[in-house]
Amino acid sequence: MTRLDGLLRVAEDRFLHGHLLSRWITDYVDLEESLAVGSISQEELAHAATLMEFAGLDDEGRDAFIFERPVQAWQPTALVVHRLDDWPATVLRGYLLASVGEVGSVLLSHARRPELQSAGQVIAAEQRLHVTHWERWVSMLGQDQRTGDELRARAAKVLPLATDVFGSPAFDQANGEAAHAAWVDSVSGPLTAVGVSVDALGRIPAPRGELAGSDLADILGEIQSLRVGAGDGVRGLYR
Amino acid sequence: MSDLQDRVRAAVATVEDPEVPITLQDLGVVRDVRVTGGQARVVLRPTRLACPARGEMARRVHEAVRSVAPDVDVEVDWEIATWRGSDVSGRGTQVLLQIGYADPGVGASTACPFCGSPDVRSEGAFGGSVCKVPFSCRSCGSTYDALKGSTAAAAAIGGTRG
Repeated sequence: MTRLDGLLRVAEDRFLHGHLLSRWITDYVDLEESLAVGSISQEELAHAATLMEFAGLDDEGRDAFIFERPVQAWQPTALVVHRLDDWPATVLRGYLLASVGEVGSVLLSHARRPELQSAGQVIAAEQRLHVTHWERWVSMLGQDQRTGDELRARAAKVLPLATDVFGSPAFDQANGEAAHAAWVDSVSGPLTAVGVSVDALGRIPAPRGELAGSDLADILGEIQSLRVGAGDGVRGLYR
Repeated sequence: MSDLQDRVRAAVATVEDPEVPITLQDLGVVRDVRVTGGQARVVLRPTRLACPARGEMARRVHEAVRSVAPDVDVEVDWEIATWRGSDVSGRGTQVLLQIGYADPGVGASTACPFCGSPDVRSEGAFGGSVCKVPFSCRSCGSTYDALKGSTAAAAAIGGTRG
């Protein structure tokens, strides 16, 4: 595995998260939240595209990477291969992944290539805004007696899915462990404040495992249908 | 500087942003224009990585260069670096204020661009597009945007920029 493989594994995570978030643009909590989620979704896709570009994929390569690889070739975190359709789970996943994005991108800012350092700084700053957004939601849902129990119940399901976010074999083990520890530290305060223990995240990254039983095949089928759907003049744009 | 390079730079300087009626030069998106032999290289820096207008900006730059140098090959490169409100030129700042954006300058307040009142309210960190932060004015009732990367936007969404 190479460092470029590591960029592609992160790109998979960001792309799938951006796609999963996009449903909230229309099925939304309120108008302002729709704007926020729409922007975050767009930025996740853009971060994925940027990482793919730095991994050496041109326009055609990026297209093939997303639309033409079989499901078995994908190695994303378990956090983005389940739909988690309810809002509290979406908030928790968004918060965990934005924090991963910020911490992981800070690592990029120490890369040897100056342009990759610069990209790391930009992505980290943009992810910081996402962290702020989701953290506010965690606090609101967790502190409200009408929604707090539901948030904590969903956290018990969502946090175990996040143990492998830095666990790809494409990541340098020492860097992965350091990033994992930094990430757990960064989310510990806000989650603990609403009664969510971060013990389930572990102290070292879990290896990314088999994705059998996940929704990944279904999610990718949905994404890839954009290119093979009916010739309605809209989907055709994506071919 | 060659006459050709002068003409190409002048042409690129006229290209307008697809969404905000301000030139890319004044917005601080154009970072470099060089003509070497038969090749023009234009470096652009997006205000946000997810700016959906990047394709249209590149198309407009190509068109502008070809209008003055049809035989020159054009390469548009995107520089992935932090865009700041302080990258907006003085003229660009005046244009933004006239069309109802908050002052993008370093240390500028979030004051309403329509009535100048400081009595304004942040409407969240996300606006109608990825580069905008919405505000409303309690004095005149106007709504307006600040550009992310400006001090005014940072006041609403946290962090220090400029």
